Amino acid sequence: MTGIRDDARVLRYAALCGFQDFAGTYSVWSWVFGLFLRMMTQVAFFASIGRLLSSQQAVEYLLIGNAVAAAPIGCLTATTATTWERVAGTLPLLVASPTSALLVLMGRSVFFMANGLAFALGALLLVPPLFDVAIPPDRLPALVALVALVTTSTYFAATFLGGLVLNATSARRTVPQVARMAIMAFSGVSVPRSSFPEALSWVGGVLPVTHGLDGVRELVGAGRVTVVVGDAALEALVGLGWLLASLATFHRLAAAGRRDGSIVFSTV
Amino acid sequence: MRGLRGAIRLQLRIVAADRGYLNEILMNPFFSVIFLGIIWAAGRKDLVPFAVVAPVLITLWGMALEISGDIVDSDRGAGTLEGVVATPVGFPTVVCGRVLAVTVLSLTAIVETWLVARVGFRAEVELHHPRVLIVTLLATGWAMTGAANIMAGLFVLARTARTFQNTINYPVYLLAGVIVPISYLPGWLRPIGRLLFLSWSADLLRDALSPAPVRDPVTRLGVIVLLGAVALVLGRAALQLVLRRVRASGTLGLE
Repeated sequence: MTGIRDDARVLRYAALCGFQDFAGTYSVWSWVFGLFLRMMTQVAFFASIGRLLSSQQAVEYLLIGNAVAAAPIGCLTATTATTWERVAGTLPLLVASPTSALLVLMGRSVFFMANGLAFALGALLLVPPLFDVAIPPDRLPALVALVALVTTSTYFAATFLGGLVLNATSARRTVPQVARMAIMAFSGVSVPRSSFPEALSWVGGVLPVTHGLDGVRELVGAGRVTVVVGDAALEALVGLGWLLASLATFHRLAAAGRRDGSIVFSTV
Repeated sequence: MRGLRGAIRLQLRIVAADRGYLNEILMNPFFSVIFLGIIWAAGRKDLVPFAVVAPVLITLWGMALEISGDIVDSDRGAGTLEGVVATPVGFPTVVCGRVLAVTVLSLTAIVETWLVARVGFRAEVELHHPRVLIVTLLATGWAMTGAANIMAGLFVLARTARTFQNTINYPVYLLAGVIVPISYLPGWLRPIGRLLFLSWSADLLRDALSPAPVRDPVTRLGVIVLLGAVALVLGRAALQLVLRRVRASGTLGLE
């Protein structure tokens, strides 16, 4: 019990620290009129392609897909944030401390989950009326839960990628950017997965977002509960996979760093 | 001219040493897959020109924006900004040279997009008006350099402007009609789109890939060149003004 309490305390302080970092970069004003507005425009940009296709069905497909994809776009900054401790030179101290370094690194970047969730929910609430797309109000609570699930599984993938870029900090901006684009291209965000060759469709199946997004589409469409629950379970399974990969990566990094002292060095 | 050439060489060396500068070029195939995939899934192969022009313009704009912000930021971080500003070659000339270098580099986006279209989608990208395409790309590169100058000025003046660096991409793509022509925008937004050189570039590039004769190409190219010149003059003036201010206040290198 004491262990859990201690971990929760570490997580809380790490999260506070991360929030201060975020607040140091963005004011409420620059977040709303910068990042948030940009995300809304991005969703509108893709939804408008449906109008070029003269298809309201395409408008809806693109709008819902890109609105949900706003969650990973916001969340994947956690990958870059994971390297901040290394850049600051405090990573060796974290590895040497009795608590798990992963716990601290996750706590510091957990704020990006809230960031991604706000983007996606904002896009799902504010953009549809501009394109005559209706989201049934009675399904909003389930929608929020599904988007939160998508955000969480993406966050675990982001921390896994964070573990990778800790060893190659010069790639800290490239890796999350590639991950964002891969999700946008192959998770069924704008293009149905069935349009791609089988191998790419399979890749899409292990990316976070894919199954959760299927669930969201079902929810705002036919709304069959069993299908939505099945999609949510698959999304949770994918998220769990990314969490396990993340734990393994950090464990290996810390062990290797202790053994050869490489944890001290930054490649910046 | 020597200063300009030196700035171009410097930027090429920086890019060779730090591949992070090539992020936008790396993202191009993803954008190509997304746009081509959308029109393929909808069975609208007639819209291929729209799907191949958009990723090229997105790469060009993204690279110019990234570099214009980074020139100031990285020089400031490295403590070389004061030195660059103090040299006889004007800072705007250095910015021009460095942006020009990345603009030329980012033209590789054309090859990337063409490869994705041909190999990935077996799409026929027919070049019906090659001269219009080449001259439009040159004019776009010119205008991009001008726009980057304005942005560099903003980044010198307000470090917080860097916060907005990545936030103006999509509003510009939407307003300039890089994939969906601005005629689809609400009427009150169209004049704003027409003030962005990208909207003229996007229209002309799409026309160059379409079989129909290009309507009034000289005037439309003239508008791109003119908007680029206005941006360049404004950008250089803004940079000079800003540099005078920060020199006077001693805040040039302050973060």
